[in-house]
This record gives sequence, C-alpha cells and structure tokens, in this order.
Amino acid sequence: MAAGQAVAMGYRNVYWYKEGLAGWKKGHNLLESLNFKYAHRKIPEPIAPRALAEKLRSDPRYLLVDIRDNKSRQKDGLIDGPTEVLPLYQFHTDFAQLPDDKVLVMVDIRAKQAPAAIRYLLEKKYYFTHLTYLKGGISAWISEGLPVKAF
Amino acid sequence: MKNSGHWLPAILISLALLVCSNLSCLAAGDIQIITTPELKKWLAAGQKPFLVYTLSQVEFYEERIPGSVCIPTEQMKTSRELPTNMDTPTVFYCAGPG
Repeated sequence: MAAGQAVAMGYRNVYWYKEGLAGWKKGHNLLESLNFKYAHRKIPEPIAPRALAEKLRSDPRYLLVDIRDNKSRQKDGLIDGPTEVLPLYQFHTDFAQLPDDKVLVMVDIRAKQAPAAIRYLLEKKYYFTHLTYLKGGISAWISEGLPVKAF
Repeated sequence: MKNSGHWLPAILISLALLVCSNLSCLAAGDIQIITTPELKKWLAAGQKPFLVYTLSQVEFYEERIPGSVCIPTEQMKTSRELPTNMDTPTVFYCAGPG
C-alpha cells in the first residue's frame, strides 16, 4: 500500500482516504478529468472466459494483454496463450508496443481496470473492432475452471 | 526469591523500552484514516494537503479528485513528485471499495 510505503520512507504525516474515488463520487463531489467525453465513451463488449478460451485455440489474431501487476500474476498465474505483459501503471508510456493488426484482449483482475485501458487505446486510434476485454477478469477465468500457467 | 529480585528490574526496563519504541513509532509514522467530509473540508481550506492518486496515469486521465498528482504504488520509491518536506500532510487514495 502506498501510504505504508510513504511511512517506511520516513513521511510523518500520512493519511489514507480509503473511501477513494468511489466515496468521493458518492458524495457528489467535484471531479477533475483530462477529457470527460473520452472518459465516458462507448467501449466494445467484453468476451466471456469460455468464448475467449475457444478463440485462443482457433483464431491466431487474438492476443492477450495482461495489465495486472506482478503481485497478481504471481498469485493467480497467467492465461495460457499469446500474451503481452503490460502493467497498467506503464501503459501510457509503453502502449505503442501493442500491435494494431491483432484483436487485443485486456486481462485484469475483475474487469474493473480494463475499460480504462481500452478507452486509452481508442483515444490513440486503435480500432474499436480490434479491442475487447475478459469479462470478469482473471477471477472469472479461474472460477470457470479454465487453465492458468505459473508466472 | 533471590533470583526473581534480580529479574524484576530487567523485565520492567524491557517493558518500558517496548512501550517507548511503540510510542515513537506511532508518533513518527502512523497512517491516519481520513473521511470524505474531512477531506472535503481540508481541500476547501487555504493550506491543502498533498493529494496522491495511487493507480495508473491511464485511470488518472479519466477522473481524479481536483488537485491530485498521480504516483502509482509501484513507482512510489522512485518518484520525484513526493514532497521533500517529510512533515507535509500527504493523503493517498485509489479507486476505493466496490
């Protein structure tokens, strides 16, 4: 946790606003955005775990983009398939390494962060039809009993 | 009985040291929880805290509490954006529950 790291680094006046953005929005408080229109744009439908497993077997155009952090990958493993590992905190600097001729499937923990990654790529002119994300994230994949490999 | 007399001061000193070290730890770097009304009041005041969003830039672009800076947890130790004054009130937040 970042606040804990700050304390370990020697900061002496550290607060944690644990309600976070969700709590801030709940109270109808003002938010700031670089581009509200972009933040609310329509994104492609997610793909269900079993449908994705089938696509990975039959369609070479499908490429997984694993946007989780290493901690999550070590805990839950990786989906066995062609994968580009690109943690979300590095996404804005390294997204250009992603091919634009593949169907990119964002994989996160519970499908809460993948939509932001997709909106970012749409803004960067990646094709709407070449982007999707795993419905329910890796948690849903595991719940369905689908195989993972160690990271 | 003689032995217990020798041990008693040592035990008391150890206990005192333990309590003191815990107190100094609390004073040096306890994490305090802040609520929405408290944060709102603080941000409206003249002297604002240093407000840090700990998720990614990609999410930060979309929405954030006004006046925040983005320092992902993974980059905390290498960030140059953190205040140089270690006593600066600093508030960390992320997406929150849900």
